[in-house]
Amino acid sequence: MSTVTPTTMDDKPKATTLSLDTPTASASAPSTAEIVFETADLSVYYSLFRAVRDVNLDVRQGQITALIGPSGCGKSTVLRSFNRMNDLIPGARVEGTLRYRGVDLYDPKVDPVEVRRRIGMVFQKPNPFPKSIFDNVAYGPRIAGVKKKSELSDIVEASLQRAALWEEVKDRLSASATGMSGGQQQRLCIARAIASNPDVLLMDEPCSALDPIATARIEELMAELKHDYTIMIVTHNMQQAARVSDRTAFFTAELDPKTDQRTGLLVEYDATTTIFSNPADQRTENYITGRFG
Amino acid sequence: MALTTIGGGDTTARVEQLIQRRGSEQTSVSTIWTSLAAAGVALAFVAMFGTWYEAVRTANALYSGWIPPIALLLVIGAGLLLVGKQVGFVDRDLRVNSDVCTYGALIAGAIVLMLRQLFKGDLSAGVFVLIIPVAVLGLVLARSLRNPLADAKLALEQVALGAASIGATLIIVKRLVDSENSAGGWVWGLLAAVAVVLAALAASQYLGILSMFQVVLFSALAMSIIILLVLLVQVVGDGWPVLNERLGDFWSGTLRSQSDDSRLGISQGIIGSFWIAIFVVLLAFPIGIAAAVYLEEYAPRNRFTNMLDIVVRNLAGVPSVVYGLLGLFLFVKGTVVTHWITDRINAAWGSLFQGELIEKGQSTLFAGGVTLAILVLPIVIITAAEAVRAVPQSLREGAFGVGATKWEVIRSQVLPFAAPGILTGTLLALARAVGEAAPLILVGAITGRLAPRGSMFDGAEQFFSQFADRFTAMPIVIVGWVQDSGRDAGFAPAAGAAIVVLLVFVIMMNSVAVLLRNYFEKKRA
Repeated sequence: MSTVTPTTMDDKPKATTLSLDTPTASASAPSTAEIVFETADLSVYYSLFRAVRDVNLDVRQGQITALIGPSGCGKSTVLRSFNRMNDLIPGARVEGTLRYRGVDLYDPKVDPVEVRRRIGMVFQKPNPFPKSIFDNVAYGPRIAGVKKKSELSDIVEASLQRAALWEEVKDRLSASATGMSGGQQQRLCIARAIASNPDVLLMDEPCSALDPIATARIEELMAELKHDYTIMIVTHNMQQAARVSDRTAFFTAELDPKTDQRTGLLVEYDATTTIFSNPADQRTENYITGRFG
Repeated sequence: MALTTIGGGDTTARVEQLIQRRGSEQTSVSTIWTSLAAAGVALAFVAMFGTWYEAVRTANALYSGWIPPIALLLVIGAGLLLVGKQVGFVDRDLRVNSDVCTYGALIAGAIVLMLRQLFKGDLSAGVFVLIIPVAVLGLVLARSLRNPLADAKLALEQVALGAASIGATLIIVKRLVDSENSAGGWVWGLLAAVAVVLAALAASQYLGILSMFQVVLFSALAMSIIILLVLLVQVVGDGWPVLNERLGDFWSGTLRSQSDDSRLGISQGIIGSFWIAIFVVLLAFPIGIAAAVYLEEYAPRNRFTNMLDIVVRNLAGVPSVVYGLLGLFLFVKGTVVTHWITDRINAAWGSLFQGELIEKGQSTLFAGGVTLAILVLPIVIITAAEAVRAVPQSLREGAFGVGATKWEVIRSQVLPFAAPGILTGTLLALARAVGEAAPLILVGAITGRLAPRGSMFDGAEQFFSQFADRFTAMPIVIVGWVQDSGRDAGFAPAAGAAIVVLLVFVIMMNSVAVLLRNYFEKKRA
């Protein structure tokens, strides 16, 4: 087993010869064309504490993959390791391998900034910048080097349209984003993520701060977006996972009696219909039938 | 009543219950208020007696004559009634009447004494006089509007207590202001403090909404406001002749050896303070903000950075004189390094103009400015670091999430969001630097006369050489004039006027800080 951390690498996987700069990395690795993410015995640590262990899952292109499970089972931690957001937390590190289109994401040669441009993220609480709606969406393209006003306008319009927000805000693009409703703010955050032209969208409980109507709109949006983006979603809401996702991963936490710490692990990963109708693992069944968690 | 709308049912009973509860609460505190009233009366007595005694001792026409003793007698009578009631000489059944007498006598005494001063032309005392009846009237009105069901006797008690306390406070404050050459100034100050607390306690009772804890907090606030007021009255009073008659000349005039010189003024102090402020802005602000951003955003959290944090915090508390010493050794006396730098600068200067720019061992404007910049650097770092820390993590994550680099996140999200806090902190630090005297005395700002220097309009040579020349600054001018007022009393108004000018500048800076803060906060909302 190869052990890779952000700083050291004992065994360099072959795939690191691929560069993330290749516009369509998948084309360079036809054998894994369908698979976007591939993890092998992925564990995430916060300093000495092992938050999640031994995650093995493949995420396929054009699908929505849902991560479900009780609180504290590490599903958000896993999601945040997919675009290296965990790097921002001091002491966080990863063991095992996590490949994105064949490239080891935690290879020292990989630039986390480039990773996050490719793999966008939508957060639990809508977090628009305290700027205008236009500047929010244009933020990603601007830092990526797009300077021309007309080009930016096109990107902003396209992104807002894809996020089903254009009709609501087209007359007030210069208004402050913080004055929008929570649901609008979250769709703005999705537009902001789309504007950077990512390959994958990671959504960390994107509807937990929203009301049912706003949630329904986001879910509709996800169904449309999955044709162009690979989507991973963490959710507490099992119905939501059942409604929107193609594949579902069920995580749970188990207590280590020696260290008295709870470590998350992947219990079962399968097609969503299978998980919800005919789960292989008793713990999955307990959870989805409401007997646990 | 609003209460009747709640719940419905037996509202009459509920209202009665409420009144009863209020009543019992008021009775339980009524003993406290009676003792406080006694203290207020005692205080008023002390104040009035002091005024009268001082007048007799100094044969001050303003306070002598037959009216002050009458006022004093009224107050003494009020005090006796109150004490008598407490120990039982006055029939307890007559309590309402005795209270009326007590407080009536007290208020009458205060008003008589004050009216006397008003007619004697003592305007400030006259203003104080008017406050008492106005306060009494206002408080009674407030009371009756607020709670028409309140026990009338209690209301009277409280009104009287408040009036007595306010009156005593004002008399004492007046004495405090008047008694600059009397030895007992601090005693009056102490009495004023007590009076303020009493007044605050009484005031809280009229409103009937403040708890004891709130009263204590409010008293603390009132103390600081009173101190500020006393300071302002004193300083403006001192400087008024100068400010009123010759502000323009005073602004453009220079330091002089005689106070009656019509060219006496503060222009050099203004110029010196201006350049010091520029040094602080150019040195302390960028370095301080950069250090704060490093500490908060880049530095790993380990024992070393924790220690750095503590060191910076402690540096902010180091007495300014110590920074003066540092400036003296580093920039005036000079070290090997500074001498080397001085030699290089002088060589460069010699090639452009003639002579040497910096004379070693000479105190310079540069030394003063850099010393003050170092003095406020820790303050800038702390306030900026706190502002940066207050930036929500979700903003940083949002920016990182679309592929921003660390610096892009800081530049486009963290710094704009933290701008109001940083600005406020830095401008307050600037105000502190402009007001500091002690370090400047050590690095050798001049307190005596200073020939007018070249300005920025006299060419590059003049412009740069002023930084290498002797200098003075507003606080130093003030210190010098206050010292000189011992041999030439005319310097005292000049010092007062200079303090007012400095105060106005500092207050303006703080106001700008507030305005900028509001502007940026609105912008980020």
